[in-house]
Amino acid sequence: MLRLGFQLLGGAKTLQPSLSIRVEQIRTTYVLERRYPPHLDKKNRPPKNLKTKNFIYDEIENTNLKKEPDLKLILTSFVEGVGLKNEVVTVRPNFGRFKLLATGLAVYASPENLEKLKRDLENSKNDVQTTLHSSRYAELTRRDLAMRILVVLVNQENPWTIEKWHIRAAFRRSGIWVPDHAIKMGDRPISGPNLELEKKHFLVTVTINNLETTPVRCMIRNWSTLPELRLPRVDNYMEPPFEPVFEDERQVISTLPLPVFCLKKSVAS
Amino acid sequence: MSGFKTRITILNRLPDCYQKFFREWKYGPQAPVHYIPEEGKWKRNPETGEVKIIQNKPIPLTYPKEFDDGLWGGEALVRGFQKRKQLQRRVPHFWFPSLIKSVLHSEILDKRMEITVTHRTLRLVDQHYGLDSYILETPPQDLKSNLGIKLKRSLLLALAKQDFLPNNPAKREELLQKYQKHIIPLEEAEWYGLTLAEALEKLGKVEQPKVQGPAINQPLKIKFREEFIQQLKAEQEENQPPPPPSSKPSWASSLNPFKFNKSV
Repeated sequence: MLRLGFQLLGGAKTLQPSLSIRVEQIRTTYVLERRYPPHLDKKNRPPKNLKTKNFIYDEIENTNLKKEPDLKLILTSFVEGVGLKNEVVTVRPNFGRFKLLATGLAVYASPENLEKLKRDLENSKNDVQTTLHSSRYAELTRRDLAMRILVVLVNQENPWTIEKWHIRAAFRRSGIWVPDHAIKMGDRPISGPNLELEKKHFLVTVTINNLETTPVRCMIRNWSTLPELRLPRVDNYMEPPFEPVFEDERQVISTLPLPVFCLKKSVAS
Repeated sequence: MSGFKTRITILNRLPDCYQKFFREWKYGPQAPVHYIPEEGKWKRNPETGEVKIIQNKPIPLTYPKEFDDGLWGGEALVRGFQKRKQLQRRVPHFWFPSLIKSVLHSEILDKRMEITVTHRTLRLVDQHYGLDSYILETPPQDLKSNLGIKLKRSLLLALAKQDFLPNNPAKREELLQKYQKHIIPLEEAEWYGLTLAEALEKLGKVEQPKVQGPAINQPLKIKFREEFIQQLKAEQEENQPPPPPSSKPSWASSLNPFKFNKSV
């Protein structure tokens, strides 16, 4: 009885496409070899017909499981995270085919194209691209900085005026090392202690590789060494609306892109 | 056997360039894809020292009807058997190529085409630095499919006529320089890439004007017959007066089924 029941269940299952059928549907290219090679043909005679035995094959290799070699391309324009214009880059084949070649951002690094590129560079001689982009990742870094809200901690008891080293320390706290010469402060000084400045934004300008510049939002937060003086804990203090310290900076602060966690929240809701 | 013979004779009536193309396309040796050919002419058995000749017999491939709508890069369906255990009977097994749809760009035709391809095709296109070079440099027996042959035909026609990219003459000159060694005369390009049926239709169109043209070698009997008829008509008009109206035969005589029977 039990066996019969199992058979019935199995029979019912086979009517629907099961996992095993789907696994068999994966199709790949094979390199095969005859297990029983055919006999040799005679001289000046028609070739012998193959026997059924000669159609038994063994798989030597499955080419689709191998990793494809990288593609070598010449970029025709600046591509973020990939390279500068006229640079020879090595990329993964499908990324190169569909993102770069299909859109016209790159051409194949064939011998003719390489020669043409060499001639073009010799003729032009002025490197235009360096004035536009300093490196392949500079644009990504710039965008990442523009997205951030930098928390500048200030003291609640002692007098202070915000200087470059405050900003540098704040960057260091969020994991970015910025030298002093790359930071440009605003003209108007911000000084305290002043509790009205709590959670207000102001702008500093950061220069990457002495070329790309971006404004970065900084948020003032008060902090004290004495626990009884500290301000109460506030949740979601980095979310808009953003209040500026100086009213004329309001537009720039609101137009800069939102941090990633704010975007994720807006998508989820 | 007779069908094979007539085919050969039909092919022999077609121009030489088409015959060459057709024989390459259908019977030319294909690049090994599904097997690894042994190199050299002879091999020696390392144990016995016996020398044997090397004969590479390609694995027979099957071409389904979908094959003609894609570029499979020499891959096709392999039908055969697997012998999974020593004491087990062989089991039928088909080895299929993995097909994907991809967009390929042709510089000469200035088009992006969605084509069913294999990974091998994409790799070949990369190796030839572009779709146009791949199609032009690959022999017809390796393109094999109707689509590949037609693409090659349109490329060769465009190169022979030099009328592609009408809005961009600078690019056209550059491409003509690049594909210089693939340019063939227009008459050959017009015959290239036709199927046998299309070639025969074209042959008929080429031969028809010859038949319908002025009859140079018209048999004399036609001329004499016409002259004789004219002569007879003239005599008839001169000699005979108009014939009297003869009495009509009854309608029953026309129905008689035994009219021409001698016994009646």
